[in-house]
Amino acid sequence: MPNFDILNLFQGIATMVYGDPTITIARIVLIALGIAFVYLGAKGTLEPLIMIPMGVGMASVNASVLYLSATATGTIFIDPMISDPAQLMDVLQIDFLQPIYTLTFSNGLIACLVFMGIGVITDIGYILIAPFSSMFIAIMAELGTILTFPIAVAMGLTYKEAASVAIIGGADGPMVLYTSLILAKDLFVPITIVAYLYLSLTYGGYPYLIKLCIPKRLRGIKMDLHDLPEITRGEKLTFAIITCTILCLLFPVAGPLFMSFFVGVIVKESEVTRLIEFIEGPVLYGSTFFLGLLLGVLCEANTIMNPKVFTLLILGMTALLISGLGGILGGYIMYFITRGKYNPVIGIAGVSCVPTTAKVAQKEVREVNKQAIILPFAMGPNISGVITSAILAGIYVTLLR
Amino acid sequence: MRERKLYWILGSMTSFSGVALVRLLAPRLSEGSYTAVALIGYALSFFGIFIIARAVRKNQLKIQRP
Repeated sequence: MPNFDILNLFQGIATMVYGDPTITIARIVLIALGIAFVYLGAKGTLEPLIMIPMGVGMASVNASVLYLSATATGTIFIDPMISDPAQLMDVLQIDFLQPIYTLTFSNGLIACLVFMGIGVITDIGYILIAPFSSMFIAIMAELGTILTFPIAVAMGLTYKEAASVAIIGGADGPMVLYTSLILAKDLFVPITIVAYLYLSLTYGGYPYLIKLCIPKRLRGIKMDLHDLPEITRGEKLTFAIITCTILCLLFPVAGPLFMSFFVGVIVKESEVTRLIEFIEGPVLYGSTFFLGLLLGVLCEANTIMNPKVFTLLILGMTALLISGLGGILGGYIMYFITRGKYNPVIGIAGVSCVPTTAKVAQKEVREVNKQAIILPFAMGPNISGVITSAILAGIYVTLLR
Repeated sequence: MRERKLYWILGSMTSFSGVALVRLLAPRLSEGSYTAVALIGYALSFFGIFIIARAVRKNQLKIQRP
């Protein structure tokens, strides 16, 4: 009977046994993490739309490492580091997710598709209800995006890497993806993963920040809903197209993001039902699904094992924490300007994780005062936050590219 | 209605003037003036957007409380 080696039968295990022990440990940890993401996503603790495909991708890619030649190991999922066009043509025919990565991920298209989806589910009228407070709080909630940059530089990152990680403070996944792809391509995988990981944790973490910073008495402040103006479709359309044009003129490098967001807004306000259904269904959910799956697949131990990952983990958390605090500070300033008529909890909604942070704000207020409705006021800063994040991404990319 | 249009036009003009400062005038200036003019341009552009947004609200409040 020929000498039968069980490890040859299960190449995924063989590559683990014969590989670098550090990478082996990282692969085991990432498989476990992937399984945990699927479980927590299905349970609803983490954002299921991203975390379930990401978890599956993460677990499978780290279990699927095989011998590509006598000496080299790898997977037939994706090769994110390939740059030579001739090699790319070969890989496109072998790695099954490579076409999606090359044609939608590495050029930022997937971020723009998600942005179109966000645009189509966004009502820009909320900004027009209270333009000053919306814009002011959104700017305050970018504090993390601004302050994390010097902190990151002080921690040893280059300017481009620092800007990419600072954008996490804007709490906008597609924006982080877009910026890091342009500014720090080598680190875009860990930065984007850190961003999405933390974004799904904002739902769990921000309520504690609100409770810590705002006393119960202030959390229960009722907002005056009688004063709410009705914004017409024409006004929303005009505002959207003028703002889009001006922002594109000012920051052409972030033009794709502005166009994607505002085309969604304009399609919604134009009431073209078939386009709305197409963008908010197949485009948004399709791109979110592939975004999650590809992020998971990119978490292959060899790709993600970077000495800077720990720094990125700290900086990502710092950025979101400072942004949350900045938003709350903005809420407090509005509270004092309006002489106590403004609920400071709305400040947290300036962190533009649409519509998560606005919902978090409403939930926290409801816990204290069942009569208090702040959602229409919280959505304004929330949507303004998307625009200010894109503006800051544009500024960083323009200055540092 | 006429007042609203005035705000729209004023806001748009202010914003586009800001864009012109940033994109057309500032690049032709020396480094010191470039930053100042560009900053003024950015501020002007955002202020224009704010005028448009503010006009909508003012107008709506007038309709609700004649």
